[in-house]
Amino acid sequence: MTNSSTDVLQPAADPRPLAAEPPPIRRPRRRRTKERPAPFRTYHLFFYLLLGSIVVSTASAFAWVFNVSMKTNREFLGTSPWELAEGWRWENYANAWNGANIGAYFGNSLFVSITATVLGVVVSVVAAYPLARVQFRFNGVVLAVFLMGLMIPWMVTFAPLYNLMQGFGLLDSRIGLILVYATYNLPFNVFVLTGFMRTLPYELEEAAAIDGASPTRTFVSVILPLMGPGVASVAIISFLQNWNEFFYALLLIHTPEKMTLPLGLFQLGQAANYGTNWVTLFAGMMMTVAPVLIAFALLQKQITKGLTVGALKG
Amino acid sequence: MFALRKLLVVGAVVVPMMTLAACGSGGDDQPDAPAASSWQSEIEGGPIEVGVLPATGTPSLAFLEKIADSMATDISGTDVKLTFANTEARPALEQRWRSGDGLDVDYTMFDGTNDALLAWADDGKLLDLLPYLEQEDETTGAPWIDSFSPAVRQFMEHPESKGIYGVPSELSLQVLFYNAKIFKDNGITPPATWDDLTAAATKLKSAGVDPIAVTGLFEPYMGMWTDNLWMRTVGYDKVHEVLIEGKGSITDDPGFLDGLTKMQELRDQGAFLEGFEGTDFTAAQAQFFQGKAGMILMGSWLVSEMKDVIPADFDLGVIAFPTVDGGAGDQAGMMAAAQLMSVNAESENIPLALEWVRRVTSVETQTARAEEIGEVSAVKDVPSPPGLPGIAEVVGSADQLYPAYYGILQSKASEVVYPEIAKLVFGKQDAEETLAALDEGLKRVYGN
Amino acid sequence: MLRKAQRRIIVPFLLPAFVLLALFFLYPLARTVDLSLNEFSRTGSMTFVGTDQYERLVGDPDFMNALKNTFLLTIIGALMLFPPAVTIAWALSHRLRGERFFRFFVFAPVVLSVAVVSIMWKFLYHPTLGLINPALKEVGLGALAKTWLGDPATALAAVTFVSVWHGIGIWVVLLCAGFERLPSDVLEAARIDGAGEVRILFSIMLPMLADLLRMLLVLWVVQSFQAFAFIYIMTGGGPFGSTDTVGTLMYRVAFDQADFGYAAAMGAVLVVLMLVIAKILNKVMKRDELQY
Repeated sequence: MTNSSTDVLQPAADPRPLAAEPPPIRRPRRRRTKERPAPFRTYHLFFYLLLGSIVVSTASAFAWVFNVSMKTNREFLGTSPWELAEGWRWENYANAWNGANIGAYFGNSLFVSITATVLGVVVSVVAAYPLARVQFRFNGVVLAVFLMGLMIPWMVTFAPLYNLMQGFGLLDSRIGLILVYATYNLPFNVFVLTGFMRTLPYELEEAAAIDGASPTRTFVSVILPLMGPGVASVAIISFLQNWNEFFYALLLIHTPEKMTLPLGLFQLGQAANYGTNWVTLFAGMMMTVAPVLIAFALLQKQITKGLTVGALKG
Repeated sequence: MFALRKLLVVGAVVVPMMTLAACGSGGDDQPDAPAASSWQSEIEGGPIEVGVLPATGTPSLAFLEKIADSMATDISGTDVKLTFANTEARPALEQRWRSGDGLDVDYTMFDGTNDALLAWADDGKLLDLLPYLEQEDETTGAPWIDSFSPAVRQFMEHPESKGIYGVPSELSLQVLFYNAKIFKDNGITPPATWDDLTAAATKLKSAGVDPIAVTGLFEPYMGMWTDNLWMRTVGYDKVHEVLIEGKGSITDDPGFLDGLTKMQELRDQGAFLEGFEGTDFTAAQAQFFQGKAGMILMGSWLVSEMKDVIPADFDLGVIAFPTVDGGAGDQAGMMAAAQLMSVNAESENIPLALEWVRRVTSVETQTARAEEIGEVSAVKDVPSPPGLPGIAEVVGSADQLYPAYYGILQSKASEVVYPEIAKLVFGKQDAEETLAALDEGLKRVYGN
Repeated sequence: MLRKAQRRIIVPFLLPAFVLLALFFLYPLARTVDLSLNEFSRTGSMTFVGTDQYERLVGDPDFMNALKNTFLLTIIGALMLFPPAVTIAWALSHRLRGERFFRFFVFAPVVLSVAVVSIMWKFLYHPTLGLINPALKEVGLGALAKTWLGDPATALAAVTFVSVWHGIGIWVVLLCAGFERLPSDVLEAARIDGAGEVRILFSIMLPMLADLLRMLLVLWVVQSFQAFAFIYIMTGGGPFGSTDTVGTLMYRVAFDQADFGYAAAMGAVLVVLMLVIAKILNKVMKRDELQY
């Protein structure tokens, strides 16, 4: 079965006329993905209940964080967790912003996560190609080495890694963190992308070769354009991982100006533990969570589509 | 091939021994260290990185930032970087030390009462401060070392080489806090003995107040109770021998079982906070300050830590851990820990690092910290923090400070002792079963 | 000719990824094995001790306990994760009204930091101040109230639940990918034949998704073998070791006791175990390739 959709490459909001532009891959479209909702059936009630309960639990979690961020420390510890805050205490946000340098952490996180994601995806999409579609003797072995990376507990290697980074002068540097993150994205990326590439028909390369294209050119102009969904899905997953990564950031970064968000939140968490300053922590959480949620809400269509369409070929 | 391996092994043994020998004779022969008599005149501005215990945004940190700023004003070119060095930051910091990139001044690198924490000094990573401490202090005219309470010397001093590798910026004492208002309202006097304590617990219980706040999510804080009980029923040295040095058996001295039995009685009385098993330490402490529990056994840092959430009208009482009538141990001892600042022997700017240590531990600074933050000082002539009423008498009545936790946390017994105590407190096993489990576990880790 | 031309790109295409992997993964990994043959002092000097550390592991009840908990967590977590994730993905494949809205909420916890989620749930689980016990009492189920994180019988499950709650969005999205890909003609045919939706799920959809499920299961095993952050923040391995996993034990051994050789040996054993389990899972769950 081939993957039938390249929709992610199209402007999502554009309801294009179906007949006017035949899909590039020959298989007929099995389902129009932007269809109207299905007509209501009784069993859908179960789905609505299930999904509704998830909405309620998630929404209350976020509401709880927001509510706490509007309390005083004494209120937080003295009242029950679901009691509404007595007033709007935006000063908690000001304190978190000033005290914890949230803006800088946010910028660092964005820079490190994006750069590492791009590096990891570019390197792995290139590496996945020969692994998926060229037969050579050590193909299986090399792939196994990459995939072994999925199985190794990350914590095991921290001491040698630290010394290595020190040797390279990459300690306490964002570049060092980026290289490490990109590397730790590689196994999953290669795994997904090789699986995805194998679903493409082999006639693609044969046709290109007959047209006289070199393998590199074939890769760039024939295979890559079809990789959109696969690349999108590994990019999103890598980004989320890098965005949330904590342990290596803690190990490799010492200077506050270079810290990423999880580390910054950790510092606020320390202040909460050792200084009973919980509300500032929660205000900090809201500030870090809100832009991400908003971005996610805006880009949701692209993100879930990228993941849904491009993700794993079982 | 074989010979090469052998050579490597020999090398690995010899090199540490050489460093050991080099540092054993004191600080004066450390090549980069300034001469003890003239270090203050050698202070030059420059960058310096010092570990601090308070977290971002706390008043305690703001206090240290002020010291850093004043140092930058007084000594031109000085740039003091404060790095968070408390428990959860230790892994990364110790890794820096191992790689030869330790902070100029750091915490938790040394404790003369804890064998596991002598290693950095033994390997020559820390500056021996003794020569500097013996110099007369410019401001007081007396040797610097004399400004510290003699009771904390045991923490500062290496038990064998007698060098000093840490200077205390504050002291924490394990004391019993109680809600004086609840006690007064119910006609309860603060418990001086264990029997008083159980009687007080009964009265509190009938008044509808949980007697004792404790967390079930951090085992060493439950162990604090048995630590103190054993100090009273067994005695520090004997406990240390059995738990840390692996000498003898825990069943030899009946005081161990006695302590565990007392703990069990307290548990069976229902003396602990409802739901303590799932309550973390911050919440347990907060519940004490909300009047939901009558007492809490905790380090003296409690007040400075909870400053923001203590109600203005809260009436706090502080007493020493109750004595045990007829106990074979020490009835006037008190468990304590000193927060020691150590200086990196490889620091680029040792005089400036020493100056930081001197400023943090000056009488002036320590007095202000006691008054503003509520820290207990290890420096003489510093008043007790006003937030801890009665702490002066409590400390005054203690004849000896004993190292908190006996050093269990860094020892081989760390995975044995506190988990078994937790099982006792949770009601999963009784005193005798706990003793048997401890005996088995200790025999296993120490192979005796 | 094509094959021959293609061979020329193998090395240049693989090189960048391989260099990164070798430097930051394979080399430190090899060094780790090296470390596990040594004994460390707190200050980092090491002595070669051969396989002593591995011999120590065999008789160490703490390691065995951690290993047991790691397996338990993996199994409990799989039970908590996969049935709901499959159901949600299945539900989302029905083009319901408000699908985007639902997707948003299913996925939203993923963007929260581990620290945030752990602290939040620690308070929700709180026996007297929390949300869950008071709510249970309110609806007359007070008997079900537990001390959750404080009870060795429930602590591991409670922590596992939080990590599932946090991460389920990713798994749902990956499963959605599988559902989207099912050939609609086959499903339509089954519907025309009068098969019920549940029947279609179990007899047609899930068998077709077997490969995907197997892969997700392996990924889950890998992830839960490394379980650390939630446990570290929520329980620290307690009460009395009931939530201690190899990850948290290794961390304590390395940092509290500065015993890096022993921690490295634990890591090495974990790696081997993980590879064996992945192999077994692959074998057990391998089905004939389904053609569709």
